[in-house]
Amino acid sequence: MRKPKRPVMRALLAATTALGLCAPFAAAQAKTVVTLWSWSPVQSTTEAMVKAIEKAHPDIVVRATIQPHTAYFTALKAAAASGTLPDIIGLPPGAYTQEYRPHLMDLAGVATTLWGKDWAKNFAPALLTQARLGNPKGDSGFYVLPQEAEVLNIWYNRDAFAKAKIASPPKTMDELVADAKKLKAAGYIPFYQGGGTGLFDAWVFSQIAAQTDLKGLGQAQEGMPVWTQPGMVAAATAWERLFKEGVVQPGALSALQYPTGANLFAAGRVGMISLGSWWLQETALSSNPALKTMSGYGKFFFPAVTPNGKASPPLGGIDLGWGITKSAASSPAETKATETVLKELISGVGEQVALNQLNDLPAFAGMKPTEKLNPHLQNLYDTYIQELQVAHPHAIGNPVIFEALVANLQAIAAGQKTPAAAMAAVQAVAQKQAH
Amino acid sequence: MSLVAGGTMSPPARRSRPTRLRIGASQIEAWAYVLPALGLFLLFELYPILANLWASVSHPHAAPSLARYAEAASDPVFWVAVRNSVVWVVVSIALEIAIGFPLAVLIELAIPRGRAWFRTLLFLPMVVTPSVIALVFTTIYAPDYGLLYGLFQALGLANSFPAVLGEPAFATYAVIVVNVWQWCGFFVLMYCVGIAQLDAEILDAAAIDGAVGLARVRYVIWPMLRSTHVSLVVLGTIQALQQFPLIYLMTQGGPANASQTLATYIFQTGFDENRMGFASTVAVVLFVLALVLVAVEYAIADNWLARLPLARTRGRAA
Repeated sequence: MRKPKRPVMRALLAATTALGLCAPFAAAQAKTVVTLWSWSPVQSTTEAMVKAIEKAHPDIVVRATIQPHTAYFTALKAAAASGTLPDIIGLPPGAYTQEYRPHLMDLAGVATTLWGKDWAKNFAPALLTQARLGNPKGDSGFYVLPQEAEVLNIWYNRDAFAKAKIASPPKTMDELVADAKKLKAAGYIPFYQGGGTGLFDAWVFSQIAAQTDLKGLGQAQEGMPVWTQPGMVAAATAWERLFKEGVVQPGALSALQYPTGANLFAAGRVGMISLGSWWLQETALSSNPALKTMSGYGKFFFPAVTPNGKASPPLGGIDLGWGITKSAASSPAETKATETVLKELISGVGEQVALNQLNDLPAFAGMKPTEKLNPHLQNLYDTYIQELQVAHPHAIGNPVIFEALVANLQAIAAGQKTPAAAMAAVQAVAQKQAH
Repeated sequence: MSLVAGGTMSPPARRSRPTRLRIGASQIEAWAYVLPALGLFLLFELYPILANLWASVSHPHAAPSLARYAEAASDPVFWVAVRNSVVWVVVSIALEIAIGFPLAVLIELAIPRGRAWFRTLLFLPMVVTPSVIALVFTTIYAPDYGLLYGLFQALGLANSFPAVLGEPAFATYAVIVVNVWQWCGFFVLMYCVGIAQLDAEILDAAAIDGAVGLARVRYVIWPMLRSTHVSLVVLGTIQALQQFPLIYLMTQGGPANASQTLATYIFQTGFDENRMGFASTVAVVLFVLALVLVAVEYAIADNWLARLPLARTRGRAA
């Protein structure tokens, strides 16, 4: 009697196991999968954002892949060439967005569907201008829409300043040089510059150029050959002073802003460093009280390079934008799911999660952190929001000009070229690109 | 069948028939073995090379031309990259042989016990991923908080510490040192294998003739390792020309393009500047440079190494 039962039991067990294994797949199949790639926000923040979006939309599964900057753009290039791009991709404005423009949908129509016909009022004009940076003449499409924005500035360690007996952040270049000496004497790296990270070389230069030739900087960002204008050469000369007069640390050209510079600054070894509004994310990532509350840190704009001049005006723009690929949706359900995820990333639960971690500034009007911030942190956040409204663009649109600028700024710093000769070299590249 | 039909089968005929059939069958069998590999070679080696060549001369809205080669020839960074690539080959191989060969001789001839332990120890850097090595050495070289800086500080020379990765004149050599550190173990291992395979009778005979100590190394062992030298020089050339991760992670080709090589310049122009056509041109130049350097090395090996004392003796004996 017992023997005949065994095959039946085995069959039942196998069937149950098979059904059990199939169940998750069947459940997943009932949901719409949206794939998303980016280099930002950081992995933990992205995971929290995805969780929030999936909770709000149980019929959607978001498969997010976050990779380091270089690896991400290498993977993206390969995916574009092989026709395997994900549904949604994260992009900075300018050259990167332009590179993938042929693969991206114009989001103006999607934005009207998601936020109504006055959707553009929800974004600062500068952000929308930057979203279209580098579009061909006559193409007014939006191939990315911003989730997060940023403002560039110099951060300083308040404790280091106190120990070096510096009462307040420098207001002029001469004060900056003097403060650097005091910080060095007190045992700190005075002004950390990750000169090996070209982006931050270009950003420091741009902050200086914004006070010596704001109009020229804007034209240069658009690709115009204006690099030999007096204001641009003056900015290059101020850049040279940072290295010649010992403001930045020795060997700065081999140093990286991330992770080395940021880590040293977080560890309290650095007096000043050029970062931006995204530094506030340390409040969520760090367990150090000085960082968690930002009580140990303050910010200022690059000091006036001339004795009677003014500090740099705020520079900033899109930190992260999202684009929808043309291959994203093959059915109305997929289209709806992709658009829903985009909305949640920019103005919904996804952005709210990122914002509560102070990942960066919201691009969408009306978004605010729902977590209570301490007065110092609230003040930092509020001033950033105000500065973003008047910020001038910070991105150089043409990648060839960008690389030429970085190489020539490094040549100035290394003493290989004079500021005038370096700017002439960038000018030559820009002229060639203009043709 | 025809032979059988012929009635008598002479022994040669009986031998020739199966031989002919065997050749035919073995040819088919041989092709069957070769074809998959050949297919993969055509698909993943030859096709990309040809496609790259085409990408270097083709233009989106114009006829194919050599315009990008002319652009490269007038690009100063390209020539810095060419020079550095050659420097990488020459300095890396020279140092790897200069360090690797004596170490191998010491291990094989002067250390009676624990050779395997030494070989393993020296080979260990080879199995460490370049990203880890780059991170470690960047920290060692770092001014202000690096290990070397600490050493200089302890000696009271902190103000004389050179920020090697940040100095255009030193950056390339600083990364080459790291490459040599990583690859020296491979050279040691190859030389150890070569020395272990030397004919003991020749070494004994040489010893009887008075070739002992350094003379034995110089006049017997060094020339007898000719094929090892050639293999290592060719492999070292290819490795040095292909080196990318250490340079990219330690200097990103900077400062001011000072440590740019053809390999890093391909990446920069292709992926950072989005100039794939130009990057393909640089890739073709790198390919040609590798062919030329290897051809030169073989020519030197044939002419110069053949004139070494023992090789001459062996040549005459032959």
